[in-house]
Amino acid sequence: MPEISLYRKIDDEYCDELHANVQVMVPELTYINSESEDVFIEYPDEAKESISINEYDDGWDPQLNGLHYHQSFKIGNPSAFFGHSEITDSANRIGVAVHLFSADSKFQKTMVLPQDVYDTVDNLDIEFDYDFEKSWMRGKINLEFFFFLKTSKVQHPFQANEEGMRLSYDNLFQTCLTVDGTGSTFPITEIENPGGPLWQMRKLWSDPLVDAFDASSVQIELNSKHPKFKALVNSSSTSNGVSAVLMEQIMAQAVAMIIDETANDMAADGSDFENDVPAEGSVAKVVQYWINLYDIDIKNDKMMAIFNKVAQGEKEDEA
Amino acid sequence: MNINWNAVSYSIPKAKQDFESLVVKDKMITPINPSPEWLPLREELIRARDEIFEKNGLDVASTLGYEFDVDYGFKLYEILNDQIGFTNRAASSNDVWRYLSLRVIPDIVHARIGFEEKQDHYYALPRRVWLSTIWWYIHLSWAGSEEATRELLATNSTDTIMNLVERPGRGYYVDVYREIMKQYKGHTSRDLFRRVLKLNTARLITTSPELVAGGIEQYVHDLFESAGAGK
Repeated sequence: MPEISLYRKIDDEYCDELHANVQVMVPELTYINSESEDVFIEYPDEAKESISINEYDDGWDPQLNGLHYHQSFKIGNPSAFFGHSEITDSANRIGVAVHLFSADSKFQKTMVLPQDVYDTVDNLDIEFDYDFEKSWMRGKINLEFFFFLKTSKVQHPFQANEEGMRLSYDNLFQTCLTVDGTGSTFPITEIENPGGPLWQMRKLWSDPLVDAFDASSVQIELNSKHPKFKALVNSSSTSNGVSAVLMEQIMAQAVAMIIDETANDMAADGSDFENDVPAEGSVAKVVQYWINLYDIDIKNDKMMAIFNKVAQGEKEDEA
Repeated sequence: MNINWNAVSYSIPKAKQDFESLVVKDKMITPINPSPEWLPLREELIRARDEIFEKNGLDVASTLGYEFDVDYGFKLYEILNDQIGFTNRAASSNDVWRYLSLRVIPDIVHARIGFEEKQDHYYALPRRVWLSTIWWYIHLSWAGSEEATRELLATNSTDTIMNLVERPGRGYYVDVYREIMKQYKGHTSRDLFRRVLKLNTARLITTSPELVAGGIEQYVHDLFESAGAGK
């Protein structure tokens, strides 16, 4: 559902139209190694929003090394945000904050960056530095940067009127640091089971709100000893052929089963999507995405309805 | 004590196998065979239990409840600390808590929790593993010292632990939780506490407590107001 905002917020379109010239630099990650040397972790710019640290530096160890995070932003024309018809009055100040959260490290907090954004035509540099202590981080750690109303002395209609209100429509920048393991993909595994079915599901999670959506929690097992296995995997990468259709059906059934099992587990546990926030990357988080994507009524739809909606949704995606 | 917490790899299937091999004989759980590097820690954790038993006139046959959760929670929080390498990273590891519960001190877990059908509290449901819940309960309530924290927890119940610890969401908002515990002091309504936490979960989606005027203290004050405290 699109968000309806009752006051003006900053988004890319706004920045372009008013020539705010906001530039986001790539995060710089450094640490001190066992030889007391500063090490700069090099990674390609395109990975800036999802950085699996060990992929680029296998010498870094979350147990033994701290991590210094540096990020800078440049605002070429801050005055674009200030005025009667803009984001906030010239007398007010805009701040930049970062929400740091990690379900894996069981932690979240929001920090305010030291430099304010005020009404000026001069370039403003905004810097963020943070030291993650050694042996503190686990799993995935998210950082989301956003503008907020820092001081509010003068208000106009359709402008945020309380200090602390978020002024960014989307995040100014967001990134996810992965310090253990790698990013998740759909957990399809292969087994050898002569005489067994072509595929089957294994549910291994115990708590869908917390357990990661990966092969440790759920597996779609394809049986490589099944006579039709080769036909299934060979042609499923192309978009034609009977096997491609079969693979789609397998995926639709698997998705429907995972949704149904998760809903059952949550109901049995007294939790639901209205009151509980699934951990980032958890089984329930992925299920929540599917519920929205396929328009599933999680309280009332039974397995058959869920499957039909998923299968229909996949077909529409194709079209 | 030289434990490499980072090396603890103890998956649910392994934990399940160990849980299934445990038996209760004469009200005692067996076998307990921690590997040598864990023995000093086990001894310290047992000593801590004995101190509580002695102080409160308890024994292995006693029924243990919230009071023991708090007493042992403080001991656990004191023993499992930075000095022995037990950092945030170790405390966030489900493997570590499962390992402590089943391999190091299953007898203490057993005395508090029981055994039959209690796998959730030993290994199966990470947010219900008893040792983890009491450690995090103290951590999320910490008011600077044991004495100050004890005062906050005195009139609470196991319900408070469950409500506080069981909804980690996108990660515990430690400073907010500590303020909630501080402002909950003096209230006894379990329902109020639950409402405050639910409201907090909902508000965090759109609000950053640190950024509101008056900061976290005011944010939490508003939560209690909206949840009907004092009415």
